[in-house]
Amino acid sequence: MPPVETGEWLSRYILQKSHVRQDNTLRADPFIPHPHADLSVTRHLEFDAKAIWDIGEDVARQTGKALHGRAENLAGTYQGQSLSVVAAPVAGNRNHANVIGWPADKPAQKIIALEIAARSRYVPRPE
Amino acid sequence: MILEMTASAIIYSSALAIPSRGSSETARFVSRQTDAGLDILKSSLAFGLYGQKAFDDLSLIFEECRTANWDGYQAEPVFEETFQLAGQFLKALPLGASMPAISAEADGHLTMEWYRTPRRTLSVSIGPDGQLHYAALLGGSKAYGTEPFFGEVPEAIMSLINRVMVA
Repeated sequence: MPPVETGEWLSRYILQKSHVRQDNTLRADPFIPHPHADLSVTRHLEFDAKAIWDIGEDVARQTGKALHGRAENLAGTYQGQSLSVVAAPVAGNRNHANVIGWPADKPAQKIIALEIAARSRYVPRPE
Repeated sequence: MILEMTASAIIYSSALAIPSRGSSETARFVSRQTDAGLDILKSSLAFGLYGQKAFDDLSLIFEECRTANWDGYQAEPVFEETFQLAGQFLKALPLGASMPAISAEADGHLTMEWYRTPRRTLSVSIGPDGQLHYAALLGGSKAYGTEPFFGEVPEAIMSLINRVMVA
């Protein structure tokens, strides 16, 4: 897979309704990296909208949860917070990537997550 | 009229006063009586509805997030201890304070958010160890850190709530 570029769009799937505010902005909560020191995202690359949603539906199906939508960001949003985005293909999602380089302490993670959330765009799951 | 004035006075003094808890038997009695009075006032129709929503949401989020992998990304479950502590934190907020929106993070912490805009918001996390991790965007500035929770809302966090919601 090619390395992740600054101008690439990345999605993080939202399976918890309370992670989205009533005004369709995103809370910091879905951007806290745990249990790994990485944050999982999906690169858009050559995927069309259906393929991007299909991966989210698959994640939801495996966990028995409902897919509410996805948070979209440019890779540059993460890189601007001194984080790196690296390609990490997995079975069923060759566009999987990890956001790495997070600080170890929770408050420092939270302030970065707030910054990312403030720059995120929420896309609700199509009806 | 008298009731309204009394209630307003309690709200005003409760919101601004620095909490004081003595250790003598008399001080503990006064503290218990004060807490009981505040509980009654908070549960009243006039003052309780808005706060009750936060408690209802807390219970709902706990139920949704008490099993592992609730977010599809291998999240930790929210433990009963965390739920209890978050409830105590909500209860410790002064009367008249803005109530937060409740959610959870993948490490099993419950979160309370005070929000005006994406760049004027405060997020406070609480875990089973009773530590309060907070982060706030305040327009062009930011603040973050950790405070212990001993049954009262730390001044640093109360100040941030006011800066986000009142300023």
